[in-house]
Amino acid sequence: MLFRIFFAVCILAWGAVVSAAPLKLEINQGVIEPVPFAVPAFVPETSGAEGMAQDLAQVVAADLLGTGLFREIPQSAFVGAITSFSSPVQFSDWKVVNAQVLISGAVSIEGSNITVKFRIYDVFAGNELGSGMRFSGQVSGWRRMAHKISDAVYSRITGEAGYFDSRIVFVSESGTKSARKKSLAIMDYDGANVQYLTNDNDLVLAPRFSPTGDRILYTSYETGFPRIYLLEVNGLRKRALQDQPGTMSFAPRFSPDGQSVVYSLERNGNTDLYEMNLASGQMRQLSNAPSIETAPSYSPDGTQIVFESDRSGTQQIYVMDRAGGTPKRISFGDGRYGTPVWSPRGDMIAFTKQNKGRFHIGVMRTDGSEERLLTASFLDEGPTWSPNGRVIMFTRETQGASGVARLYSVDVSGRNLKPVPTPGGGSDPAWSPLGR
Amino acid sequence: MNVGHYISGAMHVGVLAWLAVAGVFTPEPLDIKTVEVSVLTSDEFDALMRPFEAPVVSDDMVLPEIPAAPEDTPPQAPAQDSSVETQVVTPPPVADFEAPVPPAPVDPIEIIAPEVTEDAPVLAPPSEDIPQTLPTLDPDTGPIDADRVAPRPVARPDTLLPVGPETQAPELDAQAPDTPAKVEVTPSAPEAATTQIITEAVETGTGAPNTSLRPKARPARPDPVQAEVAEEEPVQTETEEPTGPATDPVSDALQQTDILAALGEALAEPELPAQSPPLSANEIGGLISAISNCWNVNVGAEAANIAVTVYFQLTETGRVVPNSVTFVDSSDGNSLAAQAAFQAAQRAIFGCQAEGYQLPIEKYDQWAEIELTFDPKDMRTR
Repeated sequence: MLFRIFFAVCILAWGAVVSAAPLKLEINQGVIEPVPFAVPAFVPETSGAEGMAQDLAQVVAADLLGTGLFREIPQSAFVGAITSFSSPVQFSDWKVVNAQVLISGAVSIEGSNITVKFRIYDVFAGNELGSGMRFSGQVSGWRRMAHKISDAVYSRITGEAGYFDSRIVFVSESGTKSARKKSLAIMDYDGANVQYLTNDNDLVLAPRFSPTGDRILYTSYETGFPRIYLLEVNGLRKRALQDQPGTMSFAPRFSPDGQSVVYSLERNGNTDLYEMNLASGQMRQLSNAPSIETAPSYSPDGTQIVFESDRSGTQQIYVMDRAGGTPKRISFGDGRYGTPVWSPRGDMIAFTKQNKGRFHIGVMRTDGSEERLLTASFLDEGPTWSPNGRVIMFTRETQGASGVARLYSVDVSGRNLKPVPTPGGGSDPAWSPLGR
Repeated sequence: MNVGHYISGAMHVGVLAWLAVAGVFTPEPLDIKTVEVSVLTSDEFDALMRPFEAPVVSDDMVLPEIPAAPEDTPPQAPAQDSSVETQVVTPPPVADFEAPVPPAPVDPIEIIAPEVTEDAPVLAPPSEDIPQTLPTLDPDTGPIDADRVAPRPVARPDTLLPVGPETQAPELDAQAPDTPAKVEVTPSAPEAATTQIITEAVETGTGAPNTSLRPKARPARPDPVQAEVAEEEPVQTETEEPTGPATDPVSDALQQTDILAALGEALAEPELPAQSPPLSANEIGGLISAISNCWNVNVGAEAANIAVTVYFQLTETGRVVPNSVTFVDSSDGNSLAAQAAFQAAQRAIFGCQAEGYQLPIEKYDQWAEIELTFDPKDMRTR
């Protein structure tokens, strides 16, 4: 009898162990498709906020839709509605329309002040993603509030920072190709709120944001020779960097700490890389070769510099320590490589490649491996990274005498290639850090 | 004509010569054998055919003399003698092949060739596999050695419960804090009983279930009529608490203890997982495929470099138990990306369950709890 009890206990214990061990499986293949989301019109909590409530929802929807990672459920398909910001959400109403993410919000306007609240829900899980947030500010800044909401949604869904609350500085172009006029302009990342920083009297090139977004470096032919200027965005005050007679300086870029600038300096027919401390004006030569070294870009940690050089006979990409040393070539594919830009994440380098009469925007690892070409056209050049390192914006110029330069953006995966709206032509874009 | 032509010609001549000498062109000999035949006359043919006529069966048949072959010698085939061929031969008595009683070491046997054969078979020395009739044993002589469990009788243990690590399982102690004091049980088995299970197999009324436990059937999707009938006539489950014989004093004593009550209750628990066969590859593949269709990998994001493991439970209808989806582990990455990977996995699990994942209900204990790892390693380069 006791034997039976003993064996029964053993069986029970074994059964308990077996039942406690869940079935372990692994999935390696998924799908790549946009996440369906629903953004009903925000709830107007004050009179006169009805229009703003609808506009906010539209901007948020446009931001998410423009990433290519989300798919909007049209409001006409909704079977439920958000009538109160604090009321519990009927998830079944949103499951029916296959919305995986629901964004609800409310807006109130008092005088010139606006307050926006929002919540993000995971419909299938039936819970809220993170906590709700609220922004307050001037009514004129409502678009930026909408972008901040989009950033929050993007961040909570994808796990990486957004890029919607950012701006683009670029060279605005007008006129025919033979008599092209160029000026500096700045706008929201989506093409809204365009402002011109310079007139079109002088040729300007290659603007670059400072890490704080309040200053811009650019090259101008104001004196007849290329020269680097530092422009304060808010006051539009500018000053030329310390210059040396008989030299040309161009292709500037801020260091990650914003204290220094790396650029190319042409002297006696030879172009090398230099670094200048903005506070002291002290210069330091980084390269010394008879070839042309240009388009330098810091790594995010500021310890390395990637640049292009023709020291091997053709235009290739090299990486060198910021302190100096022998550069290491990292591009070995067919064609010519130029305009390298280090990703804000630090894991990739975007570049322009010219091969067999076509131009490409591509990315590669910082050691030159895993090269991938994202675009191909008659002329693609000048890539710039979004603040989160997920999107690349560049210049695409069409062929012929009537060809026009436009801004385009593409996801780092090569998907979602689309033009960026600008008032006229645009080239040489540079993305600001997140939040300006 | 250059040197190349001479070389080519020489090589061709060499190859042809080699083929001729090697006999490549010589046909292989056919596999034909010549057989000599002779011509018979009709009388000679009749004489030859006479022995194959139907034999005449008679009751006064004289059996051939069986040689005094050794008892272990197998039956010999009849000799190819014409007088024997016409007889219906009765095989030698089987009794001749019975093993000697009682068994004793087999001495080497002298091979004696039977007279009816010209060539005696060469027999291998007899082994112990020779068929033997087991000796008739006195029932009082004690148990028989059983090679299966205990080759030899063992000394009676101090207690019937074997003392070992298994009996000291902590789960038992933890689950039965009210275990009563040790019950003194007088062993009823014979003194020479072994530890083999068969010694207790004759006992009845053990209290153990008659059949192994099975999970409940899938809830009825069928017509409501059958459901109503089922409600009116509840089926007595096999896992109903068994009742042992009331006459067993040991069982009576133990039934009064908490441990037996706990055991009986546990055995009667219908949700107790029974061990069922593991899920087949197709069943697992179907589940993985269903979830994969809803697992949206954000290629290019940091979350696409993170493998996240998720635990969740399923109901018997294959639906995800609400609030059972929990984060188990992630390979690497910052917390924000890992959280996004977990949320994507969560959406996949919930999103494609529809009316429930199609899994065999008879194996519910195998898939009631699932720990699923979402590793987008095959998606990163896409």
